[in-house]
Amino acid sequence: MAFGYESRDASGNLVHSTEDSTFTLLGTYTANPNTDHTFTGVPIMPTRVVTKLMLNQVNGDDEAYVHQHSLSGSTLTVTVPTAAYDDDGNRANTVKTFFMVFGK
Amino acid sequence: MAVGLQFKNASSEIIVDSDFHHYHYIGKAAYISTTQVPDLKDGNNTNHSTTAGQYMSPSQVNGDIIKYRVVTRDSSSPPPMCFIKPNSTGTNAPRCAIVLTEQDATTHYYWNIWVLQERTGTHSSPTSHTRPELYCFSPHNAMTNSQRDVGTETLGVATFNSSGSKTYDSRLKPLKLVSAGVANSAPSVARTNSKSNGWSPYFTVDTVTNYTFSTSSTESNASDLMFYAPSLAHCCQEHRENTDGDGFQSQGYNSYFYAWARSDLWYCFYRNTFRFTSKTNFQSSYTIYASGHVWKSVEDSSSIFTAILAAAAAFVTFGASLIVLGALVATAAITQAFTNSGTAAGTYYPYIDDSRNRLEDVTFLLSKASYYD
Repeated sequence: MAFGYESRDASGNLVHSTEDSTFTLLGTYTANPNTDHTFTGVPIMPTRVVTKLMLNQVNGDDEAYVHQHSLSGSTLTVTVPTAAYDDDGNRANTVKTFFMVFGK
Repeated sequence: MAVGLQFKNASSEIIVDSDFHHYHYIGKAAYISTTQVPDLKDGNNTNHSTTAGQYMSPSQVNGDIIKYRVVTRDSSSPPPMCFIKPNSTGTNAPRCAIVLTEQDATTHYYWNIWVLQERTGTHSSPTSHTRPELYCFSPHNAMTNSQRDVGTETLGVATFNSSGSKTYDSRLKPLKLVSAGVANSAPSVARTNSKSNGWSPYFTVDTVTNYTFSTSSTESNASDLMFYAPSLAHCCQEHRENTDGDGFQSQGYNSYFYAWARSDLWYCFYRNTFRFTSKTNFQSSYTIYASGHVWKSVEDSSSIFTAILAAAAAFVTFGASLIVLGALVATAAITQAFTNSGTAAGTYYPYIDDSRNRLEDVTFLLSKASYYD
């Protein structure tokens, strides 16, 4: 590399450099089943992605929807999908969802 | 950031920021065991009904559930990021994905990770494939003391945040990515072609969604790549058959006409799984997690139609079939089967010929195993 930063171990192997790419963890957020949440104070970076996974859920004996999300500025909004509502209009069928926000 | 250290790459992307805890390699997940969800197969016979076809369909091949364990710092640590390094790649490679991320109920700093991997072959003669390896990462503040141990290495760069907490250490193999993308549309169902095939309905997956990617490093093939992509989508499909017959039972003064009918229901519950088909293609589809075959026979000696209607009524609505399945799972034998296999009991039939979460964005992150070997 002509310019930038390189980190090498004692054997001279390249560990990390400014030619690499990665995502940095900006925050983690847990949404409880059948509950909407608004998480504030999410750090801002030029590029951000949100990943989510179901916690403690594998069986097919319920509908197991995950929360939907939107990230705007420093606010992460997670909601129970409309399709998951029960016949009485209550939030239902949505599992505990874990969100990770990454940035770079 | 007001103060601190920030590295950017040539694309102005931040790769290190001292304000944030960076992900570092904590090792491969410890393999625990492999199991499968036991078949849910049950039904009744009457005196004259056929006993043909009372088996699982050859295409009902449940995938392997491969259990791993990962240690984090304490009970408040977030779940680790586990990258799957598949055992093979290509269009015939077994699909796999993490289908369970669960904090251990007794030892809270353990995380139980289950990978569902496709098996090939037939139900009576399935073939398991070499299990994938999980390369795991945690933020620096969630690493155990041994995971933070740098040994005798004294060279490198470390950053600290405003609280004096270390956030990045180049000696601890920080996470490096070679590509990322969003899998935003899993197939609507696992099988779109007809399932009908007599007593052996087809459940083999026949639909995929492909995502192309390019890597920041030069790859000669896909064998070094690994992916992080949690399984969110799931799908449930079923097939039903009905058959009936009638006749005359001769037994002197007690001779009688009879009629019988049988309704069969096969189903598969799938989870979203993935594979690399090439060094530029990431494929999303489904793998069978659980499957079953249940049937109900009814016989009637007064009316040849009563029996047919009674059998058909058992499955005429989805709600009815749920009740039947629920009752079957509650039987001691099947509950015991689940216990022995280490999988949780359930009806495994939450909806019909549909999917859930298939349009949720699954951000897939790609890295290389050779960075950490």
